[in-house]
Amino acid sequence: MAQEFMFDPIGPDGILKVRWTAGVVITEALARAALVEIAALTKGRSVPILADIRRIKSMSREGRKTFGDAGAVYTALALVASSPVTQMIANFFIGINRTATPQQMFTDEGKAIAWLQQYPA
Amino acid sequence: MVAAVPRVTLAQDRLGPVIALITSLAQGDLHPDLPVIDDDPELEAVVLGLQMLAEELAATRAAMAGRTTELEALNYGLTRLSGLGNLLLSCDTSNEAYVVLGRAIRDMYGQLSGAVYIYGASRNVVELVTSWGDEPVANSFAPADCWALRRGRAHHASASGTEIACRHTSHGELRSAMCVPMLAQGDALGMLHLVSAPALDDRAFSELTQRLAVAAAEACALALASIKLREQLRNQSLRDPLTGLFNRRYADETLLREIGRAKRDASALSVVMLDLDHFKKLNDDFGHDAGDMALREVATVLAENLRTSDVVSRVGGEEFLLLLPGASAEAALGKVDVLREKMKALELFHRGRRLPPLMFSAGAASFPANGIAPDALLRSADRALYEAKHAGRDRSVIASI
Repeated sequence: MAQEFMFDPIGPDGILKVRWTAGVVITEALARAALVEIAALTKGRSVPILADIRRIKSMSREGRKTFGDAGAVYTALALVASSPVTQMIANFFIGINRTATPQQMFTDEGKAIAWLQQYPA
Repeated sequence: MVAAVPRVTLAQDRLGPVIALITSLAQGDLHPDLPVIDDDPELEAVVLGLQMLAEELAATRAAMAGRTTELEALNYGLTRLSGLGNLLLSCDTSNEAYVVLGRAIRDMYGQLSGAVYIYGASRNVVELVTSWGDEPVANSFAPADCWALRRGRAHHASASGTEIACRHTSHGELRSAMCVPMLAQGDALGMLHLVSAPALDDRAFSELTQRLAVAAAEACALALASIKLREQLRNQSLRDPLTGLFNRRYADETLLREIGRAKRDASALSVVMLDLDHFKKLNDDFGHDAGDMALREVATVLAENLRTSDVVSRVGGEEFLLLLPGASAEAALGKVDVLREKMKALELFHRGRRLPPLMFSAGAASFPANGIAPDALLRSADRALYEAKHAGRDRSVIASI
């Protein structure tokens, strides 16, 4: 597994939690690597995903596009952000990638999990 | 009194790099140097937001530029296609249309070689009618060797792709090629073939190129079907359906034209009226089927034993008119004698019964001795024919001057 991101074990809520490590710039290559591992973990099924981007540095346009084109991977996507920078990235990602799949930014992980539970696998 | 200057300086100091960034973006520089701000999260977020907006704007601008290029190419292609349609509508014959087609499509796809193939009469082979460019193309091949003709839809095989190349395109080095069937009213008339040079590979076949090729093939097919129909109608209006010889109308038009030519060139021209002897009796004794068969055999003898420049027409039941450009009355009679011998040599059977030998009487007249107008010439030949009949049939008479 790449060091730039890691996964929490999928619990009874069925939510897949991806945690990006501190100072990472999410590039296209990293985004693709993450999608490959997500597909392996979910065996290709769509699941609710929580992406913790609270500590990333930024996300490239190609990285945003790669995740934006991968709507079939998740039933809903919660982006957990904290700083003004990560909130800006999350809001920008959601604003640009207008998909039919629900996606929302949260600053509180608990609220993100509660919201994702509406969209089970 | 407290001076406000330090506060203004502080704001300028904090926002200056952001203002400079916005100014660069406003001036159209979508890849500016970004200020490094790591002690103010809000300002850092603003800079990042501006950077992401600039990236999206640059991507949108690039996409629009690509789209504009594509639309310009589409507009050019559609204009050429419309021009081609108009040109094809003005073509009188298929051969003329093939030439127009080759030139127009070469013009539309400058970097591609290509060819147009048309089904042969037997429909078990397609034949090259026009080609352009440097890449080799087959002269003819079986329809089964082309995936487009087999499936009834366009087939594109790239040199590097997974689609199977048509067998007729196998000329050594692999090339990207496209075949489009030319379909009109459900009928496949042939195929438009485009092939790239090896160096161009797949770049030559954009989606737009492929769409235009399909539209071009469709336009060509409709135009060619229309020309073919016109040719058929014209042929039907000039031919006698029983014998396939020209009819009276064509003979009249041609005689007028040949008289003009003979006048202009001071050359000879003869006309011969030829009437089968005892044809009514043949019909009465053997039936009309036998009579029709005899007429077809006579037509074959006439067509096979005269020059291609001579015109043979069936102008009545058993009456034929020969227009013989360049022939004097004597030369005409020489030709008629040959025909008489050939006809007498025919052995015709109908339902197991042998028909009597075919004989005819003929009257010849020539320009300008027997007339300078079509009516006068034909009247003279008719009078000579009457004399031949009156003198006992099975003979030829030259019209008196």
